[in-house]
Amino acid sequence: MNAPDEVIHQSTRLRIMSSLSAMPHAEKMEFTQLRALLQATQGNLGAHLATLEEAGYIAIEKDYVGKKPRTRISMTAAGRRAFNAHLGYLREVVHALASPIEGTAMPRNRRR
Amino acid sequence: MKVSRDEAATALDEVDESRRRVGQRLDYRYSARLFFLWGSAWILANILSDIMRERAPLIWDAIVALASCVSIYWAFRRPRFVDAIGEAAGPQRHYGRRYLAAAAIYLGFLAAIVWVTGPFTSRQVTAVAVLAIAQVYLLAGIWSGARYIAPGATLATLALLGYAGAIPGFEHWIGIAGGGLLIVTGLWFRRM
Repeated sequence: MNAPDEVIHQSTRLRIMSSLSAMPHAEKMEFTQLRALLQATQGNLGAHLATLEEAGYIAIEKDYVGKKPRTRISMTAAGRRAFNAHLGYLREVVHALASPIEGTAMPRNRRR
Repeated sequence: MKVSRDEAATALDEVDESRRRVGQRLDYRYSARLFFLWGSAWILANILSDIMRERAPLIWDAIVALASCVSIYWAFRRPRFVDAIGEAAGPQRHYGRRYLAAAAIYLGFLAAIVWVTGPFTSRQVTAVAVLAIAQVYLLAGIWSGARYIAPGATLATLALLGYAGAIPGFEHWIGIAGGGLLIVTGLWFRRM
């Protein structure tokens, strides 16, 4: 079984990585869009992004559009690998413990 | 660190929900340029057919055909949302072909309606065409994202008010108002 990724597993960081993983390849997401999607405060989101950047899972690019500053975020190859591995771990946990031998069913709130 | 089954299931739900939200925003953003295209086409066709009245049907056919080709090209070129392992997600696969098939079915249906129940007056044709466009956006509002309902409902209301004679000069202002509405919707969607 894979091991959980403690950096990614935290709820806000998991949602950040999930959102970035849904972007088409080579597309970056603007900080303001990510903040709106996650309904997070600027400070909170900034702190979690810094943690992910430090782990090498995301790349943060700052530039200007005219005179307006812009921050764009993308998932790195290492980030995608780590995210996929973490997803694999979560699925294994759900499926391993939902085996018929133990007589347990999938949790009610699971859609898949 | 140990993760329980419930925690893992909740985390997977969060992943799904986050990805769904991003998918919807991307859908709005990609639709924005379609709104610009069709809004501009609508206004242009109205202006040109007013200037060259005898060639109005040809102008409309040419502009609609051109805008349709561009839309289909964009649909085929549209980036696919990718799933967690980097593959195109099921419902978004073959998007271009689906778009083409849906457009063909819809246009075929409209042509059949005109053939069976026509001939229409120019006022009726205008109202039916605008209502048909409004219907597409209303259906998209139900299936793809609630924000499509705003342009659909506004267009339908304008078409019905105009046809009923509540606002005079229906056939003239609806082209500019409808086209303008689509362009404004494009601006709104682009901010997603």
